[in-house]
Amino acid sequence: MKIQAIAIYFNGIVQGVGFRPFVFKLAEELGINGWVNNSSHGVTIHAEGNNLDLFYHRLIREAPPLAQIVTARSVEIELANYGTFEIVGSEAEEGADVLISPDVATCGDCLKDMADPKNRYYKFPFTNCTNCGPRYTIIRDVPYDRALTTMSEFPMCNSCAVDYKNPRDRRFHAQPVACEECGPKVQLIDAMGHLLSGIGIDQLAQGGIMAVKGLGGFHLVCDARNVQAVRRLRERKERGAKPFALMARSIEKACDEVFIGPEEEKLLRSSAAPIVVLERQLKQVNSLPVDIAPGIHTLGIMLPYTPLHHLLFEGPYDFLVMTSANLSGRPLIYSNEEAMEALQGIADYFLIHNRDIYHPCDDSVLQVIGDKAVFLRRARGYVPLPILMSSYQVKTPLLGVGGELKNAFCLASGERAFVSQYLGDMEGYENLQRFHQELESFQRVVNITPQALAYDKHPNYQLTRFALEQPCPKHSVQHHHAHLVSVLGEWDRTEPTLGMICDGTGFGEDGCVWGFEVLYGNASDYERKGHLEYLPLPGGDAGAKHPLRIAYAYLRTLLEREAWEKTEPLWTVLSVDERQILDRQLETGIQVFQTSSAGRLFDAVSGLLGVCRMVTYEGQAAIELESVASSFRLQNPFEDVEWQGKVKRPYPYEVRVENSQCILRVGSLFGELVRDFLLGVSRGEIAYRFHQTIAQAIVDLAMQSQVERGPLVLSGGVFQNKLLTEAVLRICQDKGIKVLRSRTLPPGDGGLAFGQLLIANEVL
Amino acid sequence: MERIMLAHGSGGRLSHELVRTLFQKYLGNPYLDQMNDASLLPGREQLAVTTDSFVVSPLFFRGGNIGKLAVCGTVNDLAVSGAIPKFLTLALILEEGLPMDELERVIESIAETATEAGVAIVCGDTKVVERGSADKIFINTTGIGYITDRLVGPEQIRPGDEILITGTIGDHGITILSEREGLEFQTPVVSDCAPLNGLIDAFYLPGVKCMRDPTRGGVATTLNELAGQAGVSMLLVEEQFPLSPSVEGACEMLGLEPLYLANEGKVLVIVAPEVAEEVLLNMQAHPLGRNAARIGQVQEGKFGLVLLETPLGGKRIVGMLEGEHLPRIC
Ligand SMILES: [Fe+3]
Ligand SMILES: [Mg+2]
Ligand SMILES: [Zn+2]
Ligand SMILES: [Zn+2]
Repeated sequence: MKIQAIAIYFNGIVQGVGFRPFVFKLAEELGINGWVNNSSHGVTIHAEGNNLDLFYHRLIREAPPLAQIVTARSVEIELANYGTFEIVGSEAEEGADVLISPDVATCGDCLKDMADPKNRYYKFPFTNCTNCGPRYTIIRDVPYDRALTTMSEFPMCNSCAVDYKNPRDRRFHAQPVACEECGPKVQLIDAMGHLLSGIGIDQLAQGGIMAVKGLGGFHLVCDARNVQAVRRLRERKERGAKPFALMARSIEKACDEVFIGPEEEKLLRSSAAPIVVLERQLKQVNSLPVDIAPGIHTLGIMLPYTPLHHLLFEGPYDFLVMTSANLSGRPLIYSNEEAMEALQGIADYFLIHNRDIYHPCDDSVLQVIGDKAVFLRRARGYVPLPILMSSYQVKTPLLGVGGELKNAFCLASGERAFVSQYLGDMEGYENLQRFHQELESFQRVVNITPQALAYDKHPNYQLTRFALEQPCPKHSVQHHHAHLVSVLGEWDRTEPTLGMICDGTGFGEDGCVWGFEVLYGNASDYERKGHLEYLPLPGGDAGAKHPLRIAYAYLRTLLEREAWEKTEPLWTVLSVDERQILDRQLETGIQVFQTSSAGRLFDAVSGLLGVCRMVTYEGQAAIELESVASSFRLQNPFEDVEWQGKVKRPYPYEVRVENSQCILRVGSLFGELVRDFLLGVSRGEIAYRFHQTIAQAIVDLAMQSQVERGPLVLSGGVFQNKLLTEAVLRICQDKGIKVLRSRTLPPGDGGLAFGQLLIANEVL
Repeated sequence: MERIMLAHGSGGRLSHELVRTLFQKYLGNPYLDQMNDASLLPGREQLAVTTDSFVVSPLFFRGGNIGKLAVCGTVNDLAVSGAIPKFLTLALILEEGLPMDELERVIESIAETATEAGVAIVCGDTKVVERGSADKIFINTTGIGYITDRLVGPEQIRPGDEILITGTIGDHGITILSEREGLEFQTPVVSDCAPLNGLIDAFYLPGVKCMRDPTRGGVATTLNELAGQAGVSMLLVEEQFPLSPSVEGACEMLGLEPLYLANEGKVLVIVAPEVAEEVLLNMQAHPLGRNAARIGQVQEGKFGLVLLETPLGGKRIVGMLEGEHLPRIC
C-alpha cells in the first residue's frame, strides 16, 4: 500500500482535554508519522502512513472523555516524509474559535494519586490532569494557556514541568498542573484571623461553620447531621426556609437518605458533578435534620468534586451542608478578601487558598423529571458549553440579556450560542454589577462581541433600562415567546410549534401579567391561542409573597356568593386591615393586577390549604405544595393512569373558546377543591388532585388548540415541578402527543436569554 | 402621535422630561433654568418666586383640604429654596354646581394656613367653567418671598454629606389614595400637609446644603433629581426611614413603595456631616420635625445613582417614579 499524507482539522472542545497526547499515542500505535498542534481554530494534524483511514476514524471514535468534536475535516496533502510523530508548538491565528471546557470533577486516576502515600500528589488538594480540574473558572482569556489563567502565578517546578512536557503523561499540557512544591496552598483561619493547622476537619466535626473556597466560589459548610450547626447557619445567613444543598461522601451513603435512580446516579457521577434534587426516603430514625430543607420532600445532593472536598471527607461525617456563600440577594463570594469581610459573623473558620477564581460560578442544580435531567440552575460544570445550531444562523453577533430573576445572558454568533452561568436576581445592585463584570469577561472567553441585543418587554426590569441605554440596534421580546423559542432553538427546530408556557409572570402584550399561555409560533412570530382566565393579584409582587391573599382574591372572584360565604373559616388568619383592604381592592381594582400566571395559581392553592402562608424564597409556596402532593402519592401507591375513584379524579374545569382563544376557567375547580378542604379531606390528597387536574388541563388546552400533528413544547419555570410535568408527560404519551422540553438550559428564566436572542435575530 | 398622558403629570420621569424637552426648551431663561422650587429674581429687594396648581381629589381629606394644600405647596417651595415666604396670589377655577359651603371651607382654610405661615394673599382671580370641564375646584397660587443669605442648592452637595428627612414619609400619598378608594385602616392615616417655613427657620444652620420638599414622585424621585444635578450618588438605608405603621402596612398590602409616595409637610435636607447631628436635633425639637431621621448619605459617583440598602444588607437601584410597578416575580 502506498504511503499517503493527510491534514486533519478538529474543532470543538479539543484543547486542555488531553487531545494531543491521545493523537500522539494513537499515531505511535498505528505507525503514523507527522505532527499535531493546537491552533486558534482547534487541533491540526499532519499524518503520513498507510493506515490513515483507520487513524482518522479512531481519532473521532476514541476521543478523550472531555473532548467534544464539533467539526472534523481531512484533506489529502503532499507527502513530507517525516520520520517520527511529534507534538509541535501552538500557533496563534486571528479569529480564535476554540471552545473552552467547563470545570471538571476530580478524576479517578487523580484520586488514586492522592490516596497513595508514595505518590508525589499524595493528599495534594490541587491535583489535576488533562481529564479533570479547573477550566472555565480560572480562564482570563483565550487561547487556554497557563499564562492566561489564574495559575500564571505559580511557575511549575522541575518535576511538574517534566510531566507537563511528556506526551505519555496524564498531565501532558494540563494547564493547571501543580504539586505540593510549586502549587497553590490552603490556609485555615479562624474568625479572629489566627492561622490554624489542618483543613478544618476537627472544626467541622465539632459543629463549626466553615467558609470553604471551592472551584467557582465559596461555600458555607457544616456537618449536616449536627442540628445545632445547621440551625446556627440558617440563622446567621438569614435564609428563611430556603433549602441547603448537601455534599455526600458517596452515592452509597446518599442512598440511605434519598432515592437514586439510574439517571440520577449518572448525573451525580458525571464530570460536571452537579447538585441533584432527590426525593427523601420516608424514615423516622437517623435521618438528616429537617432544618436542611424545611417543608419539602427533597434534598439537593452532590458528590465531592475537588481534591480539597475529598480531603474534607476524611472527617467523621457522611454529609456536609454546602451552601453557596452569598448573602441574601447578593452574588456568590469568590475572593478571599471579600469572604473574610462579608462572612464575618457567619463563618467560624475560613478554609482559603491562593489560586484565584476568575469566573465566579455557582453549583449547577438538576432534577430528573420524566427520565430526563432538567436544569433548575445551570452554572459550574456546564458553562461555557455552547448550544450548536444548524437551522439558525446568527449573522450579527447578538446578546440576549435575559430576565430579571435567575438571570443568565446569552451571546451568539453563527451557529453557536453560549449561555452564561446563573447570575441571580437583577434587582440586587451587586448582582447587576456581577452581570456587567461577567458580560465583559464572557465575551473574551467565547470570542463574541455583540453588535445588537435582545431584551424583555417588561418596562421595569433593570436590564430593560440597561438595554435602552445601549447605542446599538435592539429588540424587545415577549417573555413567554422567548420561553417557547428557547426550547425550539435547543432542538434546532424552526417550524411554528405549539407551546404550553407555564411560569410565574411575564409582561403581556395587553398590559396584563401573563403566565399560563398557549402560544403557537417560532422565532419569527407567535400567536396567543389561549390562556388561563385572568384573575386579580392584589398588590402585585408584594401580594405574591402572601399566598393566602392570592387565595382570598381568587376565591372571592371565582365563587358564587353562597359558596364564598362558606369559606369564612379559611380567612381567620387575615388581619382586619388585610380583609378590608383586600375587599376594597377587589371592588375598585386599585393596585390590582390581572394575571393568567400559572405560578400564582399554585401559590393560591398552597395558601388556601395552609401549606405556605409567607414566601421567603422564590417559588416556595408552589414547591411546598408539590412536596405535600408528592408525599401523599408516595404514601398511597395507586395507578395514576386509571383516573378512577375519588382520589384520582381531576377537579372539574372548563375550557371555553372566547374571541377565538381557548380560556381555561377554574371556578368549578376551586369550588370543589374548597368544598373538599372544608369537609376535611387531607391537604395531601387535595394537592395531589390539583396537580393532576392542572396536568389534564394543560393537555386539554393544547388539544383544543390543535396540537394533533407536531410536537408540544413545554416551557416555563412551572415545568420544574416534577409531579406536574410527569403527569403531563404521561397524559401526552397516552394521547400520542410528542413533547419537546428544555435539555441543555433551564425551562425557567435561565433559558430566557437564548430565546430572546433567536427572536431578535429574525428581526435585526 | 405622542399625546399627553396622565404620567406626564405624575412628577416622575415623564414629567421631568416634559419640563426639560418642552418648557425649558421654549421658555428657558436664566431664572427658569435654575430649576429649583422657586426662582431667584434680581431687583432692589432680592425676590424668590414660585407657582403651583392644585387639582387634588377628594377636596377634603384627613389632615387638610385643597385650600390648605394650595398655600402649603407654594410656601414650602419658597421656604426650601432658602427664601422667606411673603405674598401669595390665588387663582381659582370652579366647576359649575360646586356647593358654596365647600368653597367657603376651602377659603377659610386658606386664610388659616396663610396666617400660620405668615404670608398675605395679595391678589386673586376666579373663573367658573361648565359642569364637567373641571373637577369642583382647581387652584393656582404664585408665591413671592425674600431671599435670605441661606446658600442652598444642588450645586452645594458634596460626597460625604448626610441626607435627613424631617419626619415620616408617604403619609399624604396614602391618605389621598385611601380616601379616594375607600380603604380603611384601624389607625387612620393623616396627611402631613403643613407649612414648613417655621420648621426650616428652626433647624437651619450654615452647613445645610440643599432642601427640597418631596411632593409628587416622593423622596425617590426628588433624590434622583438632586443626585443627577449634583453629579453624585446617594445611598439610602431602608431601615432608617421613618414610617407610620399604617403607611407601612398599606404599602405592604398594596405593593407600593413609601419612597415614591407624595409628602406635603416634609423637607429633605442635605447637610454637611459636621452639622448633621445638630440640625437633626433642631428638627426633632420642633413639633413638625419630631420624627426626623437620617436616611442616607451622599457618595462619590457621577451617574446620579440612588441606591437603597435593604434590611438584609443588599442594595438595589431606586429609579425615578416610572408608571406603575408591575409584578416581576417569575
Ligand atoms: Fe419566566
Ligand atoms: Mg412647585
Ligand atoms: Zn485527573
Ligand atoms: Zn510542581
